[in-house]
Amino acid sequence: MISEFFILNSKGGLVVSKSIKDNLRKNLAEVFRIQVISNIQVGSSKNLSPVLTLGSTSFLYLKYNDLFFVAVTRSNQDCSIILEFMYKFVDLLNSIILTIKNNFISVGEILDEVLDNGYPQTMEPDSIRHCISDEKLQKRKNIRKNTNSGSETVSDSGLISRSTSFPTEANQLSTSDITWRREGIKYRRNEIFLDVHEKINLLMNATGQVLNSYIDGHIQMKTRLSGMPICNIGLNDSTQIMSDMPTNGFDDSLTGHVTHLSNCNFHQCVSLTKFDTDRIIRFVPPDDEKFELMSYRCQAPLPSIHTSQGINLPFIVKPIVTTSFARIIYRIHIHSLYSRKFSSKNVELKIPIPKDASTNSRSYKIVTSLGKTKVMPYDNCLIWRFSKYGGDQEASLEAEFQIQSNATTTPGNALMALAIDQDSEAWKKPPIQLHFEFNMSSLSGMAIKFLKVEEPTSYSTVKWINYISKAGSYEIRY
Amino acid sequence: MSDAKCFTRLKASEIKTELETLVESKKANGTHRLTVRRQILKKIIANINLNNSDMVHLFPEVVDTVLTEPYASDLACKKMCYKYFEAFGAARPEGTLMCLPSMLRELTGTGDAYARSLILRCLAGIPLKQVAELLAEPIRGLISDEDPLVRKTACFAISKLYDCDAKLAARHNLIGLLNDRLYDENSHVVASALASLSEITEKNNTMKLVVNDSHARNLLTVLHRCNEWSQCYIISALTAYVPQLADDALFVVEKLVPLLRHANTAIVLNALKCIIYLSNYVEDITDAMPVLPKRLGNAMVSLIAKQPELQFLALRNVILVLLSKPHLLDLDVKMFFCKYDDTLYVKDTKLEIIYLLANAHNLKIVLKELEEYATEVDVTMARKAVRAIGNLAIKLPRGANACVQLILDLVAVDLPHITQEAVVVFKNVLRKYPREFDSAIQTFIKYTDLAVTALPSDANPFVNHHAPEADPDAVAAIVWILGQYCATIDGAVTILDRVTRDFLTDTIDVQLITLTAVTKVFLQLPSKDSEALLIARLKLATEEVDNPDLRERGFFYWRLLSSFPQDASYANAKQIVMNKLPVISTDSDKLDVAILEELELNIGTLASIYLKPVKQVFRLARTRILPQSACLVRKPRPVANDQHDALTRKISPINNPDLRANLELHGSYAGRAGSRDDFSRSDDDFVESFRETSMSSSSSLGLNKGIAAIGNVNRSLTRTGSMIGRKLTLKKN
Repeated sequence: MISEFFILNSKGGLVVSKSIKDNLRKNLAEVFRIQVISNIQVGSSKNLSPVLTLGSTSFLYLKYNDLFFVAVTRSNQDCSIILEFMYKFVDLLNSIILTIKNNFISVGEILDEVLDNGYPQTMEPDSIRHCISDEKLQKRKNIRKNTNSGSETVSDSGLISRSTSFPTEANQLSTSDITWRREGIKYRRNEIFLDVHEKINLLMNATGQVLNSYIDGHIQMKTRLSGMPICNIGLNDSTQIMSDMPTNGFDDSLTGHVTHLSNCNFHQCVSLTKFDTDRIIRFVPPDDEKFELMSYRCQAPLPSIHTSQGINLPFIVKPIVTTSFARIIYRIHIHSLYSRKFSSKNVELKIPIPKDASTNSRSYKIVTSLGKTKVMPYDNCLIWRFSKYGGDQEASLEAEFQIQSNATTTPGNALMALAIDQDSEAWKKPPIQLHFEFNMSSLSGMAIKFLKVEEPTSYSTVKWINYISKAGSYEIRY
Repeated sequence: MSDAKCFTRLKASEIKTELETLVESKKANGTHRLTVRRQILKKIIANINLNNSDMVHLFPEVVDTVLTEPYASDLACKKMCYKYFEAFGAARPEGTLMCLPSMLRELTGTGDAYARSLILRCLAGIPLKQVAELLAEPIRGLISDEDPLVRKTACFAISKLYDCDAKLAARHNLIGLLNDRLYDENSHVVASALASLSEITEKNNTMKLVVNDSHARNLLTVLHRCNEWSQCYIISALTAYVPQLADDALFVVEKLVPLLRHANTAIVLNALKCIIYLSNYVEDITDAMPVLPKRLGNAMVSLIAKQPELQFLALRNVILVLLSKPHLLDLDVKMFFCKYDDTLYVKDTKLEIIYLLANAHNLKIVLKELEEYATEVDVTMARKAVRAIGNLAIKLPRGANACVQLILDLVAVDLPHITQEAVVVFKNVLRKYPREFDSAIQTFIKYTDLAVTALPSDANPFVNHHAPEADPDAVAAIVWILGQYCATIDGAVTILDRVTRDFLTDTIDVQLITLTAVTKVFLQLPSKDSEALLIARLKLATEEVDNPDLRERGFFYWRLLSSFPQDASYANAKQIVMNKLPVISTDSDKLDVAILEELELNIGTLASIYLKPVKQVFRLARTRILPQSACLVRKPRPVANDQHDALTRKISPINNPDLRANLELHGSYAGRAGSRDDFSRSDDDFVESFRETSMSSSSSLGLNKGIAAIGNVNRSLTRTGSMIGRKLTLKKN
């Protein structure tokens, strides 16, 4: 699988390396530095494919916080396992050690733990945590007296007694049927925290017509439950997984009565067959660890402004942007389409302005009917912000910017100004972006119908359920 | 002390002194000694991470640590020592052998399972034959150890031993031991054994992993009792299962379908691989499972929400399945529309998918989207979008009108890069539909100047310093259109004269096309002007040009036109030059069936990114073939003899230059090379293939299917000819 794994800093210096198959040349990190990192520094980073094959050696890499995580393989290996492993590895590091930087020895230790012969092994934070010798670097979990594990003997030097003892519990965990949860957990107060996050992604053209829209949803969970509980979650009635009913259900989607999850994916703890047959999400949750139980996507039915169910289009934005005589004029109109009972927070429009537009406060004019504006010269944009935006409310903005042309002024003609515009170096015309947030509501209409915990001791559980909807990439072309 | 302090490059001697002072200091108590010793080991490990090979000189010190108390029983110290042995054990065999006995004793003892598995990992990781030999005996016991963790580690250890010494592994029948583990009660052990076996069989051509019916069923039940990685190994191994009945295949597919909802990309892609593989053994799988295409489609779409690297991988595999089994993937083209902040490689791949998914029903929205990309300021993206529109015109005859209309609209925007790309694709459209778009030709000719010279207006101060080079492909396309359709173009001769004014500095492709074009114009519109143009260009070609191919081409036309002086209407020459052109199609986007079949078995692997046969990318890799079975639906075709031809054909409509694969073999330029080397042939054939090849050199689509064949046949003949020509030229110089 993986023949060599290394982590490089942004300059290409090696910080962690693990060679698994010895038949590789020693200076692969150097090869990678020359082939990839120096190219990125030159600035062509966007064009690089995440996989580089030289001869029959392939480098798969990803960049995280100025660090390059690189896996080297020989021959044709399963790319999906390797890439997924690298992302999981980064997640794992983040969940168990405080910072990756400056803790590279621990990083190497964890790496040794999760890879055997280049094949990814159990990567549950709970079982790996025991294998790190340097406890101080770990993120402190709430201190828990383990009643059943006798491995922790208290002595005057806690550090040593801990390290000389072997984490028996961990190894049982890594080969048990449920690798993500150990037995004998006890809480005085049993709690479940469940967050439904939705992000609406939408692309609209200048006339307010929606080109593409969908909702990305995530259910995130954290549980503090005793014993080996089995959780069952049911989603609201209207939720049907369309994929299983070919074509016939498609007509409903147009009338907008049903919220369709067009697809969903689950955390490894969820029994997928159970969901397939009964539509119940059944799982044994990891303990006290934030995890993504489910991610889903709602394909918007044909987005029309007047539907009251299904995916509502929360905002419509109509921009008119004209360029003439070295000036650029924006006329932007925003209208909220949700009910007056609701209001949205942190509504913000990010309106791009050309690089060569003058941001000198004297040279532009902005008039708005509502909200505050601010020109951000370094980001090349104009921000139009509302702290609260009610339902069925309209607002408009008019702004005019001078374009400083560094070339000598030629006889003004419109074509010439256009030529500047379309010069690729001048302005890429990025779309207008809209941000907003709704609390305690899901745009897709998705709701948790029930959440039951099955456990032999049948304790009572406190459940915290929260819904947050946000704009993902809500973009308007003009 | 934080790790940062350890990360300084040290010399072995410095660490040695540090150790010596530790030994000598008397006041230190046991705890302190241990802490310091650990710190020193940390420094050594940090230096191994930094690839500091000087650390090898510390071998005796590390051996000492492992053998003396209290360090020997300290887990942290041990782990670091083991890491050291893995790094340098092979370089110092005698030292390694020294501490082997004690390690083996602990390994086979009844101590803690975790500690034993650590030792096993370490020892198996040292690529030394002596170590492997000493390990071969104890591993028999370890692989049936009480503790699953030890068994699991032993599975991988066998694979390492096999790597180190295959003969030894055979002598001790280690593979047999692994086979026994396939029925282990612990699912993780089963998965590890499968992973190990897959790796061993991948390297060894004489062995093959076979999963029989009962075992496959067993694996499917085990599947739900292990973590995600183990699931991956098991699903992947299921491709070694050869169903004998269609129902068996269906049974497995049914069990795999729920896995498509897993959050782990590797599981989804491996499940896809397995399902696609098994679908070969069912007559019509969509009949038995109508929901399957929707489920597979949804699974792939859900992967688009992942990180860019995983997205890219998923998208490449979407292309693969769309090329091989489009009926198994029900996708909505809208899901593949690009987002503004997608990375370039994702955008490229999405564009390819949009092209593949376009059909008569969704053409309208597809064109609308492509128009957006084409008017984007990003020049490369805009060009690709225009090319995609043109290719769609060729792919969908019923949508050709709409596509051409859109191209015309785009050309009207008056941007050089769009016009240039548009001309190139429009030429292909004309090849496909020779008489349908005559009216559009006029429009294009209007924009000739824009297409040919980057921007001629000297007055414009803004554009002058960025003036891009005239695109030779665009020039060639315009010249070809002018030559072919001069009868319908007003003032064709004048325009052609203007366009080919810089004949001597044009690229060779343009020059060759120019010669044909002026000949065509002369034959179709015999007049004083066209004759003058013809003579002027032929004169330049034969007198001023050093390139033998071009000169010879010039002489050829001279001879052709002057060989029948009695024939005033040049009927013969006309017949030769204006011969009917072979029809082009987009069929060559498709990969060879045999290649697709092989790629299907490699979904999710590196080869699926490159969409090339595994052998071509990785020389040493083992080729997988669809195993025969009673219920195999399509009998696999033997790989054709003209494999070379098939392999080098371009795969995708929009070739992705950014895949820096270094795989681009010279073969893919076969068509282009042919155009220069095709030399001495019967005239008919020659003109025919010349037109073909010069066309193909500028087409981005693999529209050159026919030529490659022609080119291959004649290459041997022609190359010698031109070589002699070249030598002569050199001599003259």
